[in-house]
Amino acid sequence: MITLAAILWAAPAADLNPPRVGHEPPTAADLQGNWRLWFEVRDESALFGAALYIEAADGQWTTIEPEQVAPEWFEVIIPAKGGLRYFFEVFDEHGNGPTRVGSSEVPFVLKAPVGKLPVTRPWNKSVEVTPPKVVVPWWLKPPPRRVVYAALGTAALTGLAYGSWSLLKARPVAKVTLIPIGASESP
Amino acid sequence: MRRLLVLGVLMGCGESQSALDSGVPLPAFLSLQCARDLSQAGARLRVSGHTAACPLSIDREQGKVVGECASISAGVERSVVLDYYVLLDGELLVLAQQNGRVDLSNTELDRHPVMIQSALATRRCVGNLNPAEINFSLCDNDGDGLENLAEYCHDTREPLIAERSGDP
Repeated sequence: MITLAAILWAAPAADLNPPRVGHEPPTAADLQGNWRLWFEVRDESALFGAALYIEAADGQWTTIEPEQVAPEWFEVIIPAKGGLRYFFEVFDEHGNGPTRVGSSEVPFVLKAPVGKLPVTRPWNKSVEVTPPKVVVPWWLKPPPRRVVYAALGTAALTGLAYGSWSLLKARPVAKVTLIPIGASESP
Repeated sequence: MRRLLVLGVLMGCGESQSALDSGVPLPAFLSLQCARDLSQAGARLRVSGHTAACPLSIDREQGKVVGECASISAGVERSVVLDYYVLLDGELLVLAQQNGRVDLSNTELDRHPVMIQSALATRRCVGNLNPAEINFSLCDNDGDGLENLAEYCHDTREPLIAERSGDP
């Protein structure tokens, strides 16, 4: 029993999640006049059964095995023409899947290519996302701590001075000398 | 016309000067015949808001009560009482009182004249000044209904011993 528990504890956690696929249908062909279909596939385990389904003229679906051109990236190169209908699917080695982008019922449909595809590849370029510089208006910024302390100190001193003044005003402390004199008899 | 004007100014100055003359005229009772010694009578001024009474002097030659009371807190109107008293067997007998008021709201002046009214009280004496309270026992130490002054100056009365009313 202890041995079994140790084995279970030592065994890696099983991958129960299907692959995650990202795909952006192209709008431009490469310099050779081909579509370059790229699929970004991520999974915790090794991948299995990646396939691109293309609808032929007779309505039948044919399979093309994509080429893995970079870690997590698959590519299929086919002559560029409008009306290409396709979808992609992939499993992982644990049988999780298939994960599809598009389907036989709702495939991707490409229009005629427009423009030329840049030579840069998504798996090569380092995506550096520069966060937008947010400029906070000065009136929304929290004041510096020293300003807060100075304001609080000034307010406290002002209150203390006002309180002292009020106290002095309410409680006379000026000392005077009284000189008794007789009131005149006649008003 | 000019002479009249000058005369009016001089008369006005004379009145003002007499009103501000220091000292309170001695009340008449101090010169009456008395069975006991009234020459040892003293005077003191009590001021509202102040616990200690201010000793004054009786100047019989000038016929005035004179003196000054320093260190009186200003800023408000205060009532005062001028007590005339004697010491009998170590006990203070207030024989009579005169009242007065003084407005000390003007704190710029450091010397204020206090008008003492000429009216003399020998029975309805003021004890507490603020609020003012009549305290009959103040001028009647033994509480027999005869004021201190009457008993002090009577040859057979004892101001510190309560006697039955009607006793000689």
